[in-house]
Amino acid sequence: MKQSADIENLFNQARKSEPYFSNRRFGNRVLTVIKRQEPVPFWKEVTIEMLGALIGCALAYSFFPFNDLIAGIPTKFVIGPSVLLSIAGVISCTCVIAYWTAERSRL
Amino acid sequence: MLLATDQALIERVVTANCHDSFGILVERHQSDLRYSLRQMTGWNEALADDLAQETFIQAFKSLKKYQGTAKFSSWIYRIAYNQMVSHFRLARNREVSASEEILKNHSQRIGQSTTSELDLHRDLAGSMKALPTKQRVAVHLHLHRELTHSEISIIMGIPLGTVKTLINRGKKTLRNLLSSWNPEDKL
Repeated sequence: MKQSADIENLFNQARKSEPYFSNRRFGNRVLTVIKRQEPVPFWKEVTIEMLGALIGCALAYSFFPFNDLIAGIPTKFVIGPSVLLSIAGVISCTCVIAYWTAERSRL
Repeated sequence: MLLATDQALIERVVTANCHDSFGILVERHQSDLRYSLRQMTGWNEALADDLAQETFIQAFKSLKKYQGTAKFSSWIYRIAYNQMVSHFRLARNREVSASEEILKNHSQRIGQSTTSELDLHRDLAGSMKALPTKQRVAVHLHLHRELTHSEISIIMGIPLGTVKTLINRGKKTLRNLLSSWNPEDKL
């Protein structure tokens, strides 16, 4: 019984003399990490991406001969059985690759 | 000057993402939590402060999930307990087990310690280190923080009966460990 009381006394004594730890550095550290980890707002992210895309387009336009590339696209198409077969083949291959990519983790 | 309640500060953080309000919450609870984590980690100051920091960061991220059914301090302790358990699980082999050697050495050291107040806390933390993690946490929350069995049960996520068993076993081990030590020597 006495020993039990001693343990209680010891904890009482510890509680009464519990030191106070200064918040200055600790609190600043916590808030700094929180601010650093905070996600960028959606509007800010979209604006940055749009600006990047615009700059990219402007640079590409000045470097690549787009008019020549556009002129190279054929203006007339003849759809024959071999073309249809090729299109069907490309679509099938795309579907197989898409299925494999999506289900890869489950296979 | 009127002090805002924890609940009012939490609402401000959740609705307006107010960092200053969260700063006040940190200021209010950090000392208790850092002391408790020191007791629970055998007075490992660096580890205790790292765990406390992670606890507050986790609390900030999950503040929307806080329903206000328990006290904010209890909720914080629950996060801290989970952080500590995860840490010890990762560093499983590093945690000191309660070997007879440790019990013997510590008992001797406690008997010889100086009268400084900080020594009392360090010695207590050292003795607590001899207990398994769950017993250590349960004993600290019950005897030092004076939380009820049901509050401890919520914090640790274990049944009420298990809490009582942990506390009784922890007390028994501490009694054996501190049998050669007289609290009056410290005064």
